[in-house]
Amino acid sequence: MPHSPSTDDDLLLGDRSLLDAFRRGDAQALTKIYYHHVDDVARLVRRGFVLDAQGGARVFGAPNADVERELVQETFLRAFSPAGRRAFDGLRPYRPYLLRIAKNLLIDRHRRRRPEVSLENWPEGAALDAAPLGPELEQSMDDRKLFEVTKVYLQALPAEEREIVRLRFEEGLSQDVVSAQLGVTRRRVRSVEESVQRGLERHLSSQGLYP
Amino acid sequence: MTEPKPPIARLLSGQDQLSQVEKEQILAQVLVHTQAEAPSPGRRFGFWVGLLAAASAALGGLFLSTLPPDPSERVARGGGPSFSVSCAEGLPCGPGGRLRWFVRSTPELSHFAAFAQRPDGTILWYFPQSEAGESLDLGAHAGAETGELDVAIELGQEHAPGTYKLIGMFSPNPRTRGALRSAYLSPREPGVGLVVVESELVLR
Repeated sequence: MPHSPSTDDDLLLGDRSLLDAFRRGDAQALTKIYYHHVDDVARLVRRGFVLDAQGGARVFGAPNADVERELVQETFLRAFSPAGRRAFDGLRPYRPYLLRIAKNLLIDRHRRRRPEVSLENWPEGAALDAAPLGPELEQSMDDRKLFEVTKVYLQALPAEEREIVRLRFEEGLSQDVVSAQLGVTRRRVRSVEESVQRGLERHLSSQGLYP
Repeated sequence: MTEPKPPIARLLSGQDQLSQVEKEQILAQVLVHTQAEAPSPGRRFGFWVGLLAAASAALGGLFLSTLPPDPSERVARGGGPSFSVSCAEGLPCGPGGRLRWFVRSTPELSHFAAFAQRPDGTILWYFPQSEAGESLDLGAHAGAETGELDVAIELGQEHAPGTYKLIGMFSPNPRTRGALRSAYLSPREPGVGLVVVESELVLR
């Protein structure tokens, strides 16, 4: 089953054994917490946020997918590091704690680069009180073209491969679940997944659409 | 300047947002780094002597032996090879489930072996998968992006609930279980060419 975000912020608060496992750095616990929150973190990183106290001053989100992935990864690396786990007191919901790390990373990134809005007067803790997320940036024309060409490319694939791609990429199912659903080995799922990605990249490159 | 394009995984998902495949890749990186920060074990003579003594207790694909828990020394952590495991989604994290492996190493330490120690001291070998088999060639079995092995472990009834110690062993060449034990036990050159990393697994 795909992991989906939940409105339950108290994943760690309501489960003492999970909290203990989290504090030990147990991989299972970290995996569960990661999938519980990753969509929220990614959404914040993608859209940016608005600071209440600063009259709506906006911190822009990641400008592209590479930066988005980098920031999501860095957020969890920090949150799951020994220091990050120790810093979470286990008394309050984990989601705001995690999002605060992501917000501070976004602010740090703006400070390192040419700021798109002035950050000079923002207090250190301002991100704590950030307002809800802003709108997502619109997809560029080039990107829309890429998605269209991809759709046509997928239509030409054999049915089984198309189904594997649909379940893995559109439905977001794990390789194990896809292999169980389709009655093929996990290795087959993985092999199709990799070959389709390579094939699509070659196809787009040959048309001068992909670097 | 050319703007970065959406990753291929996003194009395949039809949406310009973090895809499942990207999430898995990020998690693998996070877990590998997190696990790399966990303490590693040092040499465990008593542990391995016990393991050798119990070598005849092999059962099926897994090598089982009963050993006393050994709270032996630990060595310094570092940024060397590392691994983590994750239960397959949609399946139980225990009997009936499947254990996925994410392994990162250096080009020199190209082979990987692993076993678990159950709470009762029993040893369960994962790689090599048989007494005569050899440790896994990471170049052939580990995904380039995530480090995930293409071999998962089916968790049977022998994987009773509890906290397991996982021991991963990295070496520059393929080794049998016997060779791994010998290299680790050698009093003159303990573990030459062998890097041992410990992790933990909780089954429910």
